[in-house]
Formats: sequence, structure tokens, C-alpha cells
Amino acid sequence: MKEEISRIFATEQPLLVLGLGLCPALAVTATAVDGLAMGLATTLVLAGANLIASAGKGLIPEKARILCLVIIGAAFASVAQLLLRRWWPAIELRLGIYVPLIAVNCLLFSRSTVSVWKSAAMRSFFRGLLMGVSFTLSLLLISVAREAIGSNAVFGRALVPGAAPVALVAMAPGAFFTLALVFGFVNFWRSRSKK
Amino acid sequence: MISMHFTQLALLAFGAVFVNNIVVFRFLGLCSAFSEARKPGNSAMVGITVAAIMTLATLFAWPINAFFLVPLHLDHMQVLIFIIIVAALVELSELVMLSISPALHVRLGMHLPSLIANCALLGGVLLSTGSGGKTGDIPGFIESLVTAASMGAGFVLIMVLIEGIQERLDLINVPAPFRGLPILLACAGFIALAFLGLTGIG
Repeated sequence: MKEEISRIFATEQPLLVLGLGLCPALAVTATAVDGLAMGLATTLVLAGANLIASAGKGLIPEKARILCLVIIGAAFASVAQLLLRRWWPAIELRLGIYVPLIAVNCLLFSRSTVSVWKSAAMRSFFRGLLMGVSFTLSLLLISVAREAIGSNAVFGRALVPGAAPVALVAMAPGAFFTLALVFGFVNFWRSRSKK
Repeated sequence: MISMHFTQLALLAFGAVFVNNIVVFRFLGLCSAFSEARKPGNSAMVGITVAAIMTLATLFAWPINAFFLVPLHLDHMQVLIFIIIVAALVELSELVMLSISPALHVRLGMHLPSLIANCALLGGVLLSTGSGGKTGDIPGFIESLVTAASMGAGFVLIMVLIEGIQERLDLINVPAPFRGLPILLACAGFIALAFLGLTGIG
């Protein structure tokens, strides 16, 4: 279990190392609150879908696995959407289609979730939970950086009074450039630490 | 009156291809855009398949959404229903491809089942039917179809562009940490920057 934690948080970090879940990492990281909310919603879906799929693995024929996982994921994505609509309606409006789209998130279909079909239900649940937390942390890192540079604020609070924000960073091209820099830095760091 | 309508639809289509491009502004289908580009020629075929399925899925999803889900306040069921429509059409496309062109089926065969979990497809259907997140005004049937087809065209455009860029990148010496995903993301950023200049049209 300890080895698995270090894998999920370091050597096989879903977003920063494996490049999974690019779509939410680019789309909803303009402000830190959005990134955090998206990460929490993803965690809920991953943990729930892993638990149910793993518990029912005896009932699901091998050919229908992707389809069943997508449908279970869609059910949990609807739950996440309803919870957001009840407690944080403003954030639900900003996240828009990206909450329902967690159902087809690459994180659900990655290499490591192939083991959903092999391991016990509780173990899959914890793996999903850990992957979700790890993904949330990386989303938080990117969204804090983008909000600080693109809007001169963190969690909505102004940082440097009077400084002009670099608005491009908060827009679509800035999302690509920020992620390219983060990935480049992670690769550089990994190749250095290997030596 | 008809010509006026045509102008509006043309603007809508232009907007969906360039101004709100599904890949560089909605960030959908990036996984397939970056991985399919590995094999030359495949990206356009995958793109066209996705565009066709997206348009067909909207054809079925719009009536279900407008006549059942929204009037009955069941809009939280949209994802579940749309994903079943998309999955059925993906299976159907595999059968059609097998009977029309077995050679193409051999080339794309292993990508097809994973299209069920392609976020461009589900995202495209959600966007074109005006669902997901805020509810209220539903776009008209024709508008939805035009939007879906144009978003598909925008997807094919980006797939082909990225494939071309990838071929160029193979020939130049990219700094080691930026090889692979980072440099592709940066290139996508420059495409987005170019398309950003069209904001305000459509």
C-alpha cells in the first residue's frame, strides 16, 4: 500500500507525469476555486465509480467493460453536478460541461484502473480516492499559478496592489503555455533526479 | 427571410469552427489529437469518424432533450442518456466501417471502441444541444445540427494541423525536457493564439 501511495503521488502522478486528465487541467484552472472544485468533483467520481465497478466486476462481461465503466462514471458525474448545483451554484455554472464530462475522463480509463477488474472493492475505492486527491493537488498547483499571474490574485484575494495582470495567462492560449512549461519543468526535474 | 436565416447559420458555423474551436478553446479531444497524430493519415480519418458520429448523435439527442428531459425537469439525466446514444452510434459505426471498407477498419479498428470514452464526442453533443451546466434556452434543431457538424469540422482541422506540426517536430532538435507532450501543448497554444484574433466574429 505504501509503495502504491508513492507511485500515485510521485512516480506515476496522473496529470504531471502520465499526462492524464488534460481537458479539465486546461479548461477550469483559470482561478484557484474552480480548480479545487473540479478536483473534488473528480475525486468523488473516481472513488465512487471504482468502488461500484470493482464490486460488480463478476456481473460485467469482459466485452462491455468500457461501456459499463462509462455509464457508472456518468451516474456519479450527475451526482457531483447535483451536489454542486445545491451547494455552489455559481461554481457549477462556471464549470459548465466539464463536470458531466468527468464521466469520460481519461483518469477513469488509465492503465492503473485496469486493476479495477482484478482487485477487491475497498482497495479500488482507496486507489480511486488517492488518484483523485493527487489530481486535485496538481490542479490546485496549476490554477494558483494561473490565477496569480493571469488575474493578480489567489482565491479571489488581490496579491500585489497596482500591478497589471498578464491577462493572456487566464485565457485559452495561456492555459496551453502554462501546462507546457509545467510539464517541461517536471521532465527536467525527473531527468535530473534519475542521474 | 430565408437568406437572413442562412447568414445566421453561416456565422454560427464559422464561430463553431474557428472562434469557439472545440479543441483549442474547449479543450476537448486533446488525447486523440495528440496520440492519433503518431500515424500519418490516421488523424484525418479518426477526425471525420468523430465528426460524423457527433452530428448523428445530436440528431437523436436534440429531440430527447427538448421533448422529454427539459420539460420533465430531468436535465441531470442528460449525461447518462447522451452517453448511451454515443455508445450505440460508435458500435454502429464499427459495423458500417466493416461492411464498407474492411481495410480502413483494420487500420482504425483498435481506436474505435475507445471512442465511447472520447470527451470530444460527449462534449460536442452536450454543447450543441445547449445542455450541461446552465439550462433554459435550448437552441433550435437546425442550429444544433449545424453547430455539431461545424464543431466536427473544427476537430478535423486541428487533427490535421497537429499531424503536420508533429511531422515538422520530428525533424528539429527540441530541448529534451520539452519533447513529446510539452512542445505539442505549446504548439496548440500558438494555434489558440492565432484563432483568438477572430474573437468577435460570429
